[in-house]
Amino acid sequence: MTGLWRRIDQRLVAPGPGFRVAEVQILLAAVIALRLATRDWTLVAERPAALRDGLTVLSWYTGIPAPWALVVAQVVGLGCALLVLAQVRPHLAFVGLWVAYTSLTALWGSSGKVMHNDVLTVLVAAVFLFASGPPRSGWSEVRVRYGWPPRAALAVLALAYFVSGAQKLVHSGPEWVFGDTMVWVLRLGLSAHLSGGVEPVGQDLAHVVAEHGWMAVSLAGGALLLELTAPVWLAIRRTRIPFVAAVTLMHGSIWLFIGLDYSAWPLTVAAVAVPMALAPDRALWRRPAAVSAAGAPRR
Amino acid sequence: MPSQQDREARVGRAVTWSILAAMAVAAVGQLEVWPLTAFRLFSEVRTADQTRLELVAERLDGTEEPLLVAETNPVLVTTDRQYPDLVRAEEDERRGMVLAWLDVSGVDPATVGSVRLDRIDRAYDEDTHLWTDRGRTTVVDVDL
Repeated sequence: MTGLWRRIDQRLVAPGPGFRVAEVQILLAAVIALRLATRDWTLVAERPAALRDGLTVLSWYTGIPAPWALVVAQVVGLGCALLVLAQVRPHLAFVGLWVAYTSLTALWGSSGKVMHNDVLTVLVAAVFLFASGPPRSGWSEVRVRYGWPPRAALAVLALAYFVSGAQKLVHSGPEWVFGDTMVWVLRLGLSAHLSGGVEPVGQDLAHVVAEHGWMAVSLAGGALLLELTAPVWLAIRRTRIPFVAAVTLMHGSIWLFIGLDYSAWPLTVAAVAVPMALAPDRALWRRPAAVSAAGAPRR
Repeated sequence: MPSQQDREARVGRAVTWSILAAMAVAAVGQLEVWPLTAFRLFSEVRTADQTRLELVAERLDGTEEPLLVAETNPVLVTTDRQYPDLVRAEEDERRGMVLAWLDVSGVDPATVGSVRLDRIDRAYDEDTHLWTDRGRTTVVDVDL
């Protein structure tokens, strides 16, 4: 057991190329920018103070934010995202982006229901609050400081998916797969749009799945298996791209069948897992001078 | 004398294990301190026995109106998860919440005598694919 932990630890803090940490940081910034840009955050201002609920990092603020303040946070966040994309003061800009995004999503979600849509992105991006990217001249430099952040991001992804699966077993047991749970999730989800939810695109297909028990059991079993085995998929470089495809299929089917938008999850997984699926000496979009991450001497 | 690489490794370990430990504590303790969460996504068993809660405004003229809480605003729609809080809330807080729901539903509080919270049993019709209400029980009545 000690040997296993030592191996995990050695992999976590092994040196990595500077371009990799920059790539993941840029892709995460792009995902966050997309989330910031595609929502009307001023809707938060319409919620009376009496209906604010839930414990978040922003619970210390009990007021109702003015619409202009929400727009300012959005614009500042998007400005920071542009700076990250251009790699101008990327670390400081990423901190600004994370603070803006986390604040807005915390306010958005303080309405009684725990909102998970953005939580994975926030947690994975939190790793990069403590990670410095390379200077322009050090893009191909290989160091420990560039190695651990993308691997830490993979670990956060793996734990989030594993816990999501484990909670299903803890609270429902195998019945979550082999009972009628998925049938009723679909039937309840299909009716949710009648009380304010988004109308699912694939309603007819969802009805077909709900009416055929084996399809619902397969869907539930596949989802649970994927979540519980996430650490394995993400630990092996060659299975990271298939994992991106699998979670895209899973979250895509949730959107298709019951209209819930979890697009930030597969986008976040892709932002981390796609660059980390490449060989250590291969950059995603810029080919630096040849480096050998695995065999690089420590400096 | 630790090398620069050793110092960087210490930072990496500290950040990574701290974030993972915080996530694990939230998961094991079933804590919801957003963004730390227990990640309970669809984790409960669902069955055919379903209920929903509905707020109903009882107007001074004797008519009733179910409150449709700003269905086009996703921030407000989920406040219906707070309906059960009405049962436990103090009278002032309860009144404040009900007035807020009347406001976001576009109902003038001056025309309303009381608002009640109903629990409605629902049944699913496999032919029509629709849920129908079977019966309702008033959980709490808030006089304005």
